[in-house]
Amino acid sequence: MNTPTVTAAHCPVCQRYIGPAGECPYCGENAERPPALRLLRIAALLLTAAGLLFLYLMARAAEAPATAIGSITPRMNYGIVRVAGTIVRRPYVSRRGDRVDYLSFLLDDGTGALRVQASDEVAAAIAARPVGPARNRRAEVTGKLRITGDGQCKLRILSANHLVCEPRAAERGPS
Amino acid sequence: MSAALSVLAFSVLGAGVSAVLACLPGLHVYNVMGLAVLAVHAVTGGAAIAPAAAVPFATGLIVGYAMLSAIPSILLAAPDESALFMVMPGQKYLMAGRGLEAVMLTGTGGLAGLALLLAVVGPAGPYVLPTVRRVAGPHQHWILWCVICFMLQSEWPKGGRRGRHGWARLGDAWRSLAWGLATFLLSGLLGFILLYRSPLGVDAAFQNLMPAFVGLFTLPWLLLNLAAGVDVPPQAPLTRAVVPSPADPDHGAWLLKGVTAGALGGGFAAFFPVVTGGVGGFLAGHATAMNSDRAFLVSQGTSKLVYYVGGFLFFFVPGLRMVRGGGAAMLSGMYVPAAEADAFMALAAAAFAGAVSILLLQPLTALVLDLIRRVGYRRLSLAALGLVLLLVVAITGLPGLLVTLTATGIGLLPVLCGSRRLNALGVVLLPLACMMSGFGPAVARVLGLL
Repeated sequence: MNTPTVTAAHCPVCQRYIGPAGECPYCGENAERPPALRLLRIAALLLTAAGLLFLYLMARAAEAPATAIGSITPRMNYGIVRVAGTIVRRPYVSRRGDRVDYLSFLLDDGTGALRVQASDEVAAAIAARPVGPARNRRAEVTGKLRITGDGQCKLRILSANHLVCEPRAAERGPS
Repeated sequence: MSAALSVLAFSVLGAGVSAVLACLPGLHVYNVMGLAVLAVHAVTGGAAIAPAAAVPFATGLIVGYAMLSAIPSILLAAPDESALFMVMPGQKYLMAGRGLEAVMLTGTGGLAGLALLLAVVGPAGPYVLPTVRRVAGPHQHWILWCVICFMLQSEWPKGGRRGRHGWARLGDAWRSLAWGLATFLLSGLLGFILLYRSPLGVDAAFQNLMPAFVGLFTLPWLLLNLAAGVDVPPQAPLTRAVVPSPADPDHGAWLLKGVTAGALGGGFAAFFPVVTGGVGGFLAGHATAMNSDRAFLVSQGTSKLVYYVGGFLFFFVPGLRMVRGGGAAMLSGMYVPAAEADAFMALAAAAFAGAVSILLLQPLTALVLDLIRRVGYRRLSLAALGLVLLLVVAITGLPGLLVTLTATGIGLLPVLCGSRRLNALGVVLLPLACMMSGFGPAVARVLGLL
């Protein structure tokens, strides 16, 4: 290989290789980096701090978009959406011992039907509610979509707070 | 068109598209696949796709990219001179005028990786891999934490000699390590935001991480090319054999070491969720870096091919149907593989595309070198920068651009502060390791994202 000549990677005084260091670790001489790289470093720090702050605030303030089940496309795979509809069948509940570890139900909003599922502590928290998912109840749910190639679409609830069920008219009692 | 002809034609077409990508730095095959998915949806209106066209085309794209992306990686990522002794052997070869040799060595590794996949994983996969998944499945979370620990711990202090006192020296030694940890944690925070409350429109959700990856890995590379003002020295023609010859003093042991390490690193990355090709290459590099530059380059070629193509082919293996990598994830939203026929179709497409790619490697390298000489290194990087940003906006809109810019800031930190770029993989490693260990939602709740 060619031998590299003395460059910006070498100390200007002792001429030993110092890589990108700003000061020679051997003789202590100041080895200035090209101004473009110093500017880039400052820009990187500013971009990181400002960008992350804005993205974080934006994320905290944003609501998942309300979506009609019939308008879900494969491009929405892994997207977080909010759907509202009626639970059309009795929910399926699976238990491990006394604890509910999985539940799923079919939600229909008039444009289509979607399988909604929850597992582990999310499922347990939903099952423990007084007004949980039940047939003919209206529900609004936020979750992550998973669409498979055969057209099957599922919505996974990430937090028990993301499911709101309304009691049926008969359950509400006299007003 | 008969099915066989269709497989041949579309796999060659896919490899051809990857050959075009190889002429520009920074264009990733998954970004182009994302664009292709959008185009397919626009044309078909979401109707089912024809497997005999889509599978070989996607396979051709991925095989071509895995093989030919060595060209932009080595020829168009010339380091600033100050990094000459710290960069990978590929760039070292380039700065010494041996870029073509480096590309061909990487291609040799890629070819060996493809042969391994076709000869071993193809026929044995349906019998072995489902069992491996069953055995490894419950252990994935702690294996992932081990990979993260190894990645963070294997970064060594680069200072430590400045200052008179112990504390000053300790501070100096910890500077690059601290930047590495900061990069890992900041990219991890970005990952949590994207996975739990992505600012991207829901229509772009299938490419949720794309703008982050562009910002973390592609743009810093292009910006450095522009800022550092590097010139590529004249490159020598290929005079040394890139496969073992009888005169080889170690009888080709470097090739065997490179291929073995690359196959293990790439195979591990392909099989385990979240572990990416970068980690596979990193593990393979650790296994070979002390041997020779040639073994290292071969290992990188093998690792990259086994990671990209192996991960994609796992989707077709009967009894496994495992979705690994962006290519398989995109295809899995549009198509379900049919029994064994589609697995053999994908293997055939991989073989065709591999043959085309290896034949294109040398002429394409010469073409890119000529392009660099005519157009100039900076102009090529500038064109790629514009194209990549356009792609981000086209697929993910302005929110995607905001994510890309933020990620670029994070991606520049390790490059400019002397730590490893690999730390930026915290964007997937940290949130998904937390998720797989069962406390991802708890962390997201603490961050106010859930």
